[in-house]
Amino acid sequence: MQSAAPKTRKMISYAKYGYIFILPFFLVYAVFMIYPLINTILLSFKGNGPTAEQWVGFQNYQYILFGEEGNRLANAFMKSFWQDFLNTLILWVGNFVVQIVLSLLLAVWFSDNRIKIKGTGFFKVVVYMPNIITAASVASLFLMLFGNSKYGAINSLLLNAGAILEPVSFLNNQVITRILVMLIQSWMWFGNTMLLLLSGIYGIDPSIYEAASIDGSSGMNTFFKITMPILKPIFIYVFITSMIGGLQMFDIPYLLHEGNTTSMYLETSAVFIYKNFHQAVPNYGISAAASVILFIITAVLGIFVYKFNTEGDNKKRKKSK
Amino acid sequence: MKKRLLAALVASAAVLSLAGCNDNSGAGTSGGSSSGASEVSKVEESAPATDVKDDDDTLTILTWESNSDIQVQKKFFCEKTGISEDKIKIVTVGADGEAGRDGIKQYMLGSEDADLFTMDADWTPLYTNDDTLTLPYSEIGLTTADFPDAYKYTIDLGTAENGIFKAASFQATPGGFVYRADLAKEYLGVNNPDEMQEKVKDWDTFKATAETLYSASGNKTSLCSTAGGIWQVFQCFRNQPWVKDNKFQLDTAEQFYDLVTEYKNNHYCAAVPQWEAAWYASIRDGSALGDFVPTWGLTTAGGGSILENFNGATAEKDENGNLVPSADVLAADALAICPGPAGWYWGGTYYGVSSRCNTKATAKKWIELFCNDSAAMKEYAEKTGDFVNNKPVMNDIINAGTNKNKYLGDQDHFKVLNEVANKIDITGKVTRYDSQCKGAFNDSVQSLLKGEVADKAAAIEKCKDDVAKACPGVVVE
Repeated sequence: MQSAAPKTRKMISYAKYGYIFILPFFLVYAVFMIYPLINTILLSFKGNGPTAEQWVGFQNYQYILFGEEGNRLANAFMKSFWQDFLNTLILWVGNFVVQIVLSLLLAVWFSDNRIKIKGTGFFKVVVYMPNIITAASVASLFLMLFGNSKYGAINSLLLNAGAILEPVSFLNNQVITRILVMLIQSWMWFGNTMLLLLSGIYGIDPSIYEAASIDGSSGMNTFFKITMPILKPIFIYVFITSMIGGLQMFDIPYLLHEGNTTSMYLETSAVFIYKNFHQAVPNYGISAAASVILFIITAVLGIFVYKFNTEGDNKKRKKSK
Repeated sequence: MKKRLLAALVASAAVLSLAGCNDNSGAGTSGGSSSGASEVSKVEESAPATDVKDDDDTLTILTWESNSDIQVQKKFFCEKTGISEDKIKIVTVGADGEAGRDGIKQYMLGSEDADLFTMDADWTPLYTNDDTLTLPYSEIGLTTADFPDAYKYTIDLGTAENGIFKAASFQATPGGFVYRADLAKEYLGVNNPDEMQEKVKDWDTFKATAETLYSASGNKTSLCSTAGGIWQVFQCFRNQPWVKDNKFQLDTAEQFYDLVTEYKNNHYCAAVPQWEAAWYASIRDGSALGDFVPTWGLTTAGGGSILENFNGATAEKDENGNLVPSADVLAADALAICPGPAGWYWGGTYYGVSSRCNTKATAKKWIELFCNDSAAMKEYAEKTGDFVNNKPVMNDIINAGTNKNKYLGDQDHFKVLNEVANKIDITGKVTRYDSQCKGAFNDSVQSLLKGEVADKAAAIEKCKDDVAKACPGVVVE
């Protein structure tokens, strides 16, 4: 009996070429993403200034999160980290609310077949425009508008109109500066968010809307019962990306001030990190630890938001099974 | 198999030819990375160097973009010494002084050539106290005795905490009080700079004058434009260094919180921000009588100096980007200068010797030419209008009476500044922490003025917190 041993035929394997072709990406990714990430975590366990090479364990984390009794340095770090984190949250929440309302409203209007706005293409471009301008230019634009002295545009208008007698220090006012940053951020980003929502709305099957209108559903009813539920995944996406971006907010708050230093009310977590590693004798350890903490906070919040919003769906699916 | 062999051959040929290219460009005239590579090998060869080498014929000077003096100096140096211009290599490592500070440190982490640094007065002590960055001047054969004519304070500033001399400056940077002579005459009855000096000779008189001026002008004119200007003068007025025995001390700076709040509340100071159009406009429209301006802010070459902006001669830009006079340009004799209440300086550029210096002779020649050669320094002062760091030279120029400043009604500003320079005394008060302490203090003053912190006590707390963060290792209270 002849054994049915398979004939070993020499085959040329092309699989390795696949690996070779994707290698550059992984190399670049490893060098520019993985290594810095690991290095940041390592740095967060090392000292600051003259002791930058020393291994200090969790000291940086302890300083930032809890401070230390009778240690001015530790308490100073703690105070400014939490203050800056609070600033970041305030600025982000204020900006997100305005932004989402504006962009949702515009997205619904632009996509509504009954209103039929003319030139939506033009308006989409116009609305997206602020996003193209560099943050630095936007900041200097607003600095000129809201300058503290009588030479600022708004101040000089108000003074000439007789509405005020003394120039208003817009940029030194806690409430006004924060509102300014929120508005700038919303103004810069609402076009972008609108496009995302719009693409979501366009993805909804028009026959659903037709059916709704035949059944006599009002505009409001259609929006809350059809558009909103179907848009939910896009919403979650916008919310999470905006939150990640918001917690890392840097440019506008950092730039919007007169004089040499960032306004205390606008110092965000990212500014805290930047300031600590950028000073003459850098606090690399503190900077790195703050980065890691911010990373963890962002990740936790992101997961929470995602779970919170998809839980209902899962339950429904389970029930229907 | 044949194909593989062929491929291998082609590949190796390609690699070889590339290597050949590299060799060629390395030997050529230029080439960023290739010259870097050749430097690496050079440094490795001379790794355990104890004495400064003199085996490279190109002097490499690290500086920053806005330090425009360096290009003028390069030309001047080559003219005077006959050294070819391509033997002097200027490397810019940042846009402004602060970026230069970080850029030099970053550059020194690599292994490329660096012989001299230009250092801003603000962070010179930070670098002179770091032996990994700078060498003592004695290593290239210079001591303080080689600079007998320099203004004393520049030597103090260039000396490290352990007493080793490590940096000299080509310029001294005292400043004076530039004021509107026409308004001063109208409101204060002052006819010349000497009379004006009587009105601002110390801090008490300064305040009294500010009070008189504000009411005499019908609540329109403050004596000084910016709080930053007053601070520059005030910070030279200290009894103790910022950090002594590794402990931070506020010393006289504490008084400044009260002074500046009082000045602002009573409109003795217009409190406009420095470096913005509002600063210059406040002088031209008479909201402020004057401000404190250092030597380098008094040049008249058309580069947009502080004085030129006060006058309005360079306040606008035309469609080609050239600086042109504004509509409210002042008369040539509308501004004048007097010494003011204290001896003070603001900024200045110092030369440090890099720890990797390998062009000893030329480096020494450069420093000697700009910081000690009287004839050359005189020529440089006359050519550029800079206040050179050489007392006899400045005295000569003042005695000759040739220096006239066209925006100060032909007043000799050198005469005024020379008086101020001789009053500066910072002996024993220079520490490596100065720039951080000054920065933290200045920020806390700004916070107080803006109302970010409630009162003086809170401002002091903020200042101390910031010093602790900026100078890890220093004991704060």
